[in-house]
Amino acid sequence: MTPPAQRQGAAAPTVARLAGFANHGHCPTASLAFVEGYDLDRVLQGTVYGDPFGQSQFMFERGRMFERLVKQDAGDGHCRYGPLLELLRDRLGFDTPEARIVNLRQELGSDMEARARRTRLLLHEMAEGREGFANIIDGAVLQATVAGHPANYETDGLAFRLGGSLRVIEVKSFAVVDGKADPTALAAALDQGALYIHLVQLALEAEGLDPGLVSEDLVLITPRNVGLSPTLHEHGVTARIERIRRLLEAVPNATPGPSNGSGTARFAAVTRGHGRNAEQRIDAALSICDDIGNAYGPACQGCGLYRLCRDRAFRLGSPELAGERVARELVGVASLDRAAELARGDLPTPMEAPAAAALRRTADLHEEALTRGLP
Amino acid sequence: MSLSTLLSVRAHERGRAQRSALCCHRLLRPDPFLVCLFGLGAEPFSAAAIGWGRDERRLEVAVAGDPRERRLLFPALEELAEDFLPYFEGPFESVEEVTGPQGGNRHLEVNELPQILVPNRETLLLLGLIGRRVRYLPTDGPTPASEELIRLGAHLDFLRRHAALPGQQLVVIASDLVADHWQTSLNEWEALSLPALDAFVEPPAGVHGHDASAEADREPLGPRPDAEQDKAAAPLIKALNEGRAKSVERDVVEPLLAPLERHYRPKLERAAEISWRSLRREAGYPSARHAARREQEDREAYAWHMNMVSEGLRRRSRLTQAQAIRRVGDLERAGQRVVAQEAVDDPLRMVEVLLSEQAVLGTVTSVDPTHKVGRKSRPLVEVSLGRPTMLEQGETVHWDRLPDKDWEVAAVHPDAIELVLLNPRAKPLPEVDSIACFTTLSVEDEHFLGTPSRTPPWTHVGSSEPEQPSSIEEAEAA
Amino acid sequence: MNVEAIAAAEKVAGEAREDVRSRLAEGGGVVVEAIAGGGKSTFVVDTVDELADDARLVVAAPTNEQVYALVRAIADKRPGLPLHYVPSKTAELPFPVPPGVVVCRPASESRGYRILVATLHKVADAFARNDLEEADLLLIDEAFQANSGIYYQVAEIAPAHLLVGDAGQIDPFSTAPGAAELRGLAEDPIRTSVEVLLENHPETPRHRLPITRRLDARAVPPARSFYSSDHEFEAAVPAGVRNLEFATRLQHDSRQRELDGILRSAASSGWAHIELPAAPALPSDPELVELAADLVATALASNMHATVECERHGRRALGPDRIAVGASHREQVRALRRAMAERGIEGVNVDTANRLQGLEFDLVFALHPLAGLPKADTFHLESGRLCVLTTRHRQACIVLGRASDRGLLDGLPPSGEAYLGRDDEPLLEGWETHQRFFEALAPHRIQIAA
Repeated sequence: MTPPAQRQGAAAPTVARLAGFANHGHCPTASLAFVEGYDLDRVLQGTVYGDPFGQSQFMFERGRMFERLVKQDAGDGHCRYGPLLELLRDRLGFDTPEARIVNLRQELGSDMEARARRTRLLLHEMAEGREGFANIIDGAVLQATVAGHPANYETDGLAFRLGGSLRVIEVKSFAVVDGKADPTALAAALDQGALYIHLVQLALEAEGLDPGLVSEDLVLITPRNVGLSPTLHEHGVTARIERIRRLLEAVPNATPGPSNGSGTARFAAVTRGHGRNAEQRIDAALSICDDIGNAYGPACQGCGLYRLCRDRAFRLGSPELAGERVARELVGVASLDRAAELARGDLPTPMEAPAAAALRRTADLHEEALTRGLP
Repeated sequence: MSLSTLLSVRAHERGRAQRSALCCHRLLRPDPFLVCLFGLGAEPFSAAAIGWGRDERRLEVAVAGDPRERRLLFPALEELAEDFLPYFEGPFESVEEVTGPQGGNRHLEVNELPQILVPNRETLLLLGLIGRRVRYLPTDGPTPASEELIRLGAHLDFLRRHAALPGQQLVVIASDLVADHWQTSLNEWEALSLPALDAFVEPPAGVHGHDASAEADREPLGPRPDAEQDKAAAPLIKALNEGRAKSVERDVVEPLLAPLERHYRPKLERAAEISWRSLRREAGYPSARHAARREQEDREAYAWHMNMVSEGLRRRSRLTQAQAIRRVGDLERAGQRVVAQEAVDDPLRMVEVLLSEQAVLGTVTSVDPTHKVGRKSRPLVEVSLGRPTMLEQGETVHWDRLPDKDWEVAAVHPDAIELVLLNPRAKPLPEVDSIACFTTLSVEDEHFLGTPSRTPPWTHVGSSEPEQPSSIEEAEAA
Repeated sequence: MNVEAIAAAEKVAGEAREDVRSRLAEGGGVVVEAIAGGGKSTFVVDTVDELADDARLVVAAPTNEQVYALVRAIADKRPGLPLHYVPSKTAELPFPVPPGVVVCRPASESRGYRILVATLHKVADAFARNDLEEADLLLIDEAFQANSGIYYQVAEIAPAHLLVGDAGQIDPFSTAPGAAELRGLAEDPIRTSVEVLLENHPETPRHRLPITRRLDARAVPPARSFYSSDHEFEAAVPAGVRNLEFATRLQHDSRQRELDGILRSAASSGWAHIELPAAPALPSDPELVELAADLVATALASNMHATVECERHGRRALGPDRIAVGASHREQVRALRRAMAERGIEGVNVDTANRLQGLEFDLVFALHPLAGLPKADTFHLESGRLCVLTTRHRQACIVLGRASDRGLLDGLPPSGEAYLGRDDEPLLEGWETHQRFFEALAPHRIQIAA
């Protein structure tokens, strides 16, 4: 979880922001914001392009309620883990009558450093199978350096030892109905689990332990059907771990050239404050797009700059505005407006010629269809 | 290139959506049953507010209060059921058992069909999940569910499944209806939004469709609220819960619902208004020829479903392997057929087919009704195309005016084609000098395998067969 | 010839046939996996030959073309062997009916058959109508392209099954977007027949033929990209046995010299990866299409005297029927066919990867699935498509694309969707396959101007 009142310009690369970067990493502007530590979801708040931020509190409550239920949290952070242990026993044969569970949240609270140290220690014990090692760590904290920022990742899932391997558990509150989960929500959960598995691998490696001890099958716990009774699925995420590995490798390289030499963050001019009005902030954002480029497309949904970039695409008449198919079919044509001229018969440049010929043929058939009319 | 790309270009240039069909490819009833919903957060099986009606001037609204409490949610659903059930089940009263041609399959037939109008796919999906939730509820035990609630659930679940069949007309999804008949410069994702589409089709005077749709899209139409909408609802729900002090009695709860109704009613009314407007706009266009013909499958599916429900049979919550095979086959055939039907019904639709060279268009240069191949009568036409064709000798094609008759490509010339009619008695023939269009797409059902045996073969046994239909309420009930 | 590889493959084939024999008595399935050109048809035909006298066989495959090839291969191996061919409604053998082959139209004319050959669809249909008698063994060729649904409908025809196929080719798919609602569920009929059989009967013996007969040693390294590293295989034919030759000719036109050079280079190394300048392009990239058509025209030009020679045939002229041009989209195929027609080229096989599955040629031109794309997506990354396009050849494969294609894989693959019950990640796995393949092609890369 992100500590409250995160200062703009130093937003830690949280899991959510990493996922955002993964989705928008092909865009120089979005990458710059990530590297400079600006949260794109908030940077345009208070302008016409700012979207209502955050998730519905009811969604949040549902998630918290389910996690409490799985961990049998009495409401004071003290957990008895009954439903969790039952699932692990029934589905994964985890049959340790006196499982030792270490609750780092309870023990060390929000001291992330201490939790990270303790996590490393416990992993050691687990990996080496020392007497009385922890079977389950709740609230483990894993550390990594991302884009130059040291970052703590708190597993809302847990690691435990089972059949010789460490397992990573993710608890998610989306429902599995008749064996099916929402494909997008599931993918996001798997990506998050893959990140944790990768971080555990790194942690083990850093401690001189065998990273192969971590299973690449994620343990996913979700509510089944309409109620909140938990169910367990195992899901292989090897390919997603590889993607995460690439992602973490790519982040430091994402620093685009022109802006960073000066030492001041360009996105500073987009944020609220210092008497900047909305118009000036929007202009600042647009000039970043103009200078270093953006990559507007359907994947931009969900990026905090989406509305801004969409309007920019509209003013420029970019074919990307109308979706991937249109952009693909208008290759070589600079804008939708130019395409309209070509469809009317304007002389194309050599680069425009292939798309122009197709546009004219389509326009002819369109005309012909209107003339023919309904049978 | 596709026609949709050209029309997107023009929509951008002209600031308005462009028509992508000359007619309306769905059979629209004058007074369908509209349902719209607002949920709470991402709660997957409930609705905070439900709007419905068959008259665009009047929207019935029921709010649950706190939809996470099933004893509050179910009465709201029962209010919907009170109007929905007579409408949806009415046509089944006239059911008859009919024997197919040549003593074929006996099946049930109805004269009339219901039609359900929803604003968007998300609404249908949520209705389906609610249906999935309530259709298997126990009618006995400590918390018996009403018969009406269970039937409502069964119908909603059925409609959600049936709506996946391309070309079906029991459910009209307003956003799909608009997107199927208009092209905008919205991208694939944005074009799922009904307010955005509607604003692009009819933007205010002097406003570009792009700006109009961006403005219209600011406020979600449901069923998924955004954080702000829920933020406004949260204190109202809190007040209600404090006021009712855990009571679920109607006389306690009902007086407390007014603030929530005031919160949700305008949102539902907006969804209803745009849905009705979209429906009326399309209904103003002539109806496509095959739209009426496609009703037959809807009739059969409806009668089959109603028969199951009326006999108290429960449908499995998952398909058997045999049903799944049939389901995929049905989806594939319906998809292919509706593309062919729309193309022969509508020259604008045919443009995409011509562009993909699955059709040819040209001037008929000669017609020989007495032409023979061997001793068989095979009327011959020659069509001048003005360009080469990809069709090959021996291929079967169909004339768009008489699409269930077969022609065979007899000869291919550099810019013309000769065709012979394989059903020699079919009338009329194309006329000399007229423009004619022939396509390889077929409006007939492709030959398909019969129903797979219900007992799985030895190779397919062992994989978990779907569970028996069961309540999915178990956790809550417990 | 690679004697060891051949012996190893024969050993596996022998063991597989032993398993089949024991299944004939007890019932149950046997799976034999081969890589592209991995001697599948040889294995199928040998198995039919060996079992023909002892058992009643149904031999089936997904498409008409594959069934034609089976009829021809079995008839070649055992001329005069009674073989009942049940054609689909519109199917017609593209060659004279071989002696011994009985064409059964309608299917009920197959009564009393010993060996019956038909498409899976036809078997399912005729069996459901009681027009086909039961058999001792059902042999499915290209079983990785047969989906669970059609398998369900043919399975009861025999108590013993032999499923032979190539896991590297294109997975079964549905034309209906709505079919995704079943993805990941046990009842999904779009899974492969092999997957269903192995899941329900985990004891099913599984053999892997460790050989490719179509691809020679030069062709193998890039082809390894498509198969899991635990499926080991070698080429039966070492480099230097097969020979594709273009006679030297004087050429003044520089473009023509370049085309000649490409063909010669591919002929000598078995591969060429041609890259046009980096640029996004229309799906039917006119420059790429022109290049493909010019290369085919050059290969067939009478003064090039193109000849092929291999372990089976002595030197002979390279005919158009031994050349294929493969693409990913029908739109590309139409453009390619039009370009061929404009050059007066006839008889060359121009088709989508889908329709080239299971076929074999001497020289193949493959439009790279990623050619000219603005970004890589699941469809174009499917490794099966690339596999089919680049493993159809006996002599050489020329991959055509743009210099920007490789860059599409520099960034981060999108996360895509996920389904419970399905651990495979077609997009992410395809991404890696494509990267490996590009790497393997590096020595054969030739960049040219448009």
